Formats: sequence, structure tokens, C-alpha cells
Amino acid sequence: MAFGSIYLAPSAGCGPATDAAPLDFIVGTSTPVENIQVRAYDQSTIQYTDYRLRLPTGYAGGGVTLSFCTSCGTVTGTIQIEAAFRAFVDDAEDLDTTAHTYDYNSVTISTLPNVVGEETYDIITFTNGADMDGLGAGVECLLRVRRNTADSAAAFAYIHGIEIYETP
Amino acid sequence: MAVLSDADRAASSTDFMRDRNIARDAFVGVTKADIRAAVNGIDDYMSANATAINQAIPQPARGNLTTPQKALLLQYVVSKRYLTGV
Repeated sequence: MAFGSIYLAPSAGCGPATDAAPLDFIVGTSTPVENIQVRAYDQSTIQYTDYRLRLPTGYAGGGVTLSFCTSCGTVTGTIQIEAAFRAFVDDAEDLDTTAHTYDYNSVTISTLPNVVGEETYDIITFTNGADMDGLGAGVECLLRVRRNTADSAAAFAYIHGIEIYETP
Repeated sequence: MAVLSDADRAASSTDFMRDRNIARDAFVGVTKADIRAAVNGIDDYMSANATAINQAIPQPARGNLTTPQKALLLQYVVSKRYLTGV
């Protein structure tokens, strides 16, 4: 049985101690103008956002899919988004003394929206087990998201939101 | 005059992109590599033509202004020529 989905808004994230992707706003044009919340990722410095969540007890071991809604300050080039899990396994993960090596999965968005201000939807999948750091049903975790600046778009990349669901 | 170091060229490219991004000034048709190539091209030109630019400044300014002062003067002229209203 799958678990439906979890949505992570930009404000649900927390930056690490250094190189945090700032919480930013895309300013709309309605009346009054919208302040559309995003996480902004620099084009030259790798920046991160950490999200706390717990994989629901309904997770049935099918792996998870992350669906990203993103946009970019340019229409040319590519952006590469990466994500990795750190599972807080019961009585096994010493958070304040043990450094974790994040194993990133990625998606390269090779076709940006043809207008700056428009969005695109792309996914990253994780197979069950080591690919998602052994994360299982009912276990807390940290989801770390970053932009790999080896991509080519000469502008900020914006992550609007992330939906997590069990891979069908 | 030697060209800028690789690190300084990279910093110029990075700072330019970041500043324009913050200003929501979108680039169309250029990638990060293209902007870095533009930095390299401008720096190469400045290196090759530094003497000529200096010679364009009449005396007594050429002899009495410091190098940073002349660089700032060049920046003012370029800004007035190309950046009015930006």
C-alpha cells in the first residue's frame, strides 16, 4: 500500500550551517502582487536545503519518487538538481558526532521553460534500500537537496516545491 | 600588462552573474561557459590595449592620476556610455 504523498514547501526546509540556499521570493504582477516563495540556488556556488520528514508507515518498499517544481532566471542551458537521504534509524544514527556521506541522485533539466518565470516539473527516483540510505516505513530522515553547479544555466535556479510519493 | 589570473577571471564571471541574477536581469542565449568566455575576451583585450587606453588620456591627467584613479575614470565613462537607465 502506497502512502499518498508528502509536499515540501520552500519554507519547510532549513539551510545547513554554510552554503544554504536562501529563501527567496518571485514577485508576481497581480494586485496586490504575490510574493511567491522559492529556494534560490546560485549558479556558481553549490548551495543546499535540508528537509526533515518521516517516511509514512504506509510505505510498502517500492522506492520513492521526488517531483520537483523548478524555474530558472534564464531560458538557456541546463540545471541539475540533486537529492539524498539520511535515515535516522532507531538507536543507530548518532547525529551530533557522526558525519554522513550523502549519496546523491540527480536529474538534469536540459530543456528550461521557454519563458523566464515559467515552471517545469521533473523527477528523481530512489530505489528501496541503500539508494535511500535504508530509509524504511515510519523512520525519520533528512532529505538534502542541492544544485550541482557543473550545469550550464547562467542564472539562479529556483525550487518551488517538492512532492514525495512511493514509486508506483 | 598581464591578464587576470584564472581565479580572478572566474570571480569576475561569478560576481557578474550573481549580481545580474539578484537584479532579475535574465540572460538569453548564453550559458555560464559563454559568460566566462566573454570575461576572458574582454580581459585579453584590456591586457593587449592597456597602453593605448592610457595614451588616450591627455596630460597632465595621464601623468598625475594614479592607476586606480584612471581605472575608475574609465569605469565612469563606460557607465555613462552604456549603463544609463540600467
